[in-house]
Amino acid sequence: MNSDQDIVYLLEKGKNHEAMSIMMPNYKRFVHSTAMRYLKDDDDAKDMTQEVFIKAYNSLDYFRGDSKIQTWLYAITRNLCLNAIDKKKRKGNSIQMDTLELSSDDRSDRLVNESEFSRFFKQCMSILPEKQRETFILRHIEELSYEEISEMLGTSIGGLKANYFQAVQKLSQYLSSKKEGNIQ
Amino acid sequence: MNNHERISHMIPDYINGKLSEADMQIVEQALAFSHDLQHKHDEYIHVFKALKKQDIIQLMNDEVESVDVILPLKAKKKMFFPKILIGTTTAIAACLLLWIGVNTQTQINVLKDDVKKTTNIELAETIDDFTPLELQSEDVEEVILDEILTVYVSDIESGKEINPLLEKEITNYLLQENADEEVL
Repeated sequence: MNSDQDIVYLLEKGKNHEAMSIMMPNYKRFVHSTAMRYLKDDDDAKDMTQEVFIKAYNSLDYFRGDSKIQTWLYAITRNLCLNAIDKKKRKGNSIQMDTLELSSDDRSDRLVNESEFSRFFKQCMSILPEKQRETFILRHIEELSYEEISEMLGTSIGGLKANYFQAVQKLSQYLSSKKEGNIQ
Repeated sequence: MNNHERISHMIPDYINGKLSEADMQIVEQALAFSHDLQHKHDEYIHVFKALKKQDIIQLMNDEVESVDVILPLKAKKKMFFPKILIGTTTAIAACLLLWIGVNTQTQINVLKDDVKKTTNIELAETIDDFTPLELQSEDVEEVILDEILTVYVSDIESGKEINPLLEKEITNYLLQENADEEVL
């Protein structure tokens, strides 16, 4: 497994293309899932993944290895996603930031191809506000420390701990309600 | 935040084994004495069982599988010379070539003059071999013709350009000589 150290070593040697060829498979899922959470559209997220890596490639000279590659990529992804959302908003295609729910037409088309777990996961994430959702994913899935998440999201460590706990609590309540049959 | 709440907030990280040894012991002791905390612990375990990290990662990997990131072949590099300098450099190079051409032509002309001078000197030296009493007009003509023929043959052998008028004169002279010999 190629580590971040290998990538940084290649960057120091000026082998940017080789460094990117390791970075992309290692972080493709992370970038795509982050873009997906912001943009809420698979095609847009795929395009954004491409855009993020090109942006990263062109900015490699500015990456000094002070922060983790994941943190750096998250910042690029988040900025590009927020810019894209802004652009869409200005064009009149408003996007609801705090929900992952799709429009009814999209829902009927897409749910056909989605697995049961995929639907369940998206439903779970849709009940969480953006900050809680991001904190939950970064802590539970990406297994990042609170310090790293704090650097990514610009939130205090105390605030992140509270966000994570509230996310778990909300999910627990949601699952209990679902079990009791209150939610389809 | 009281102690009960503080420990509640630690339970999700406790379940995922992300607490320090000291914090783990604090949570374990609290769980042993508090039914409420024990209940929360069970609820949160249910959340993490329903949203298993590996299942979510698998889902994300499936979604990103079709994403092909293509990088540009070369990163954009800053031009070392501004465009204006490229034009100037070309102009300087052209001037340099022109100067070399003119200079070479001048040197060729100087060499040609030197050859002519050398020939004249050699002729004069040859004539000087004769004493004034011995010297007759026929001898002088013969010596000059011999010298001219020698230079002519030498020029042909070395591939030098021959003056067409001189060539014509020599050809006529040789034809005349042959004709005279035949008559005799």
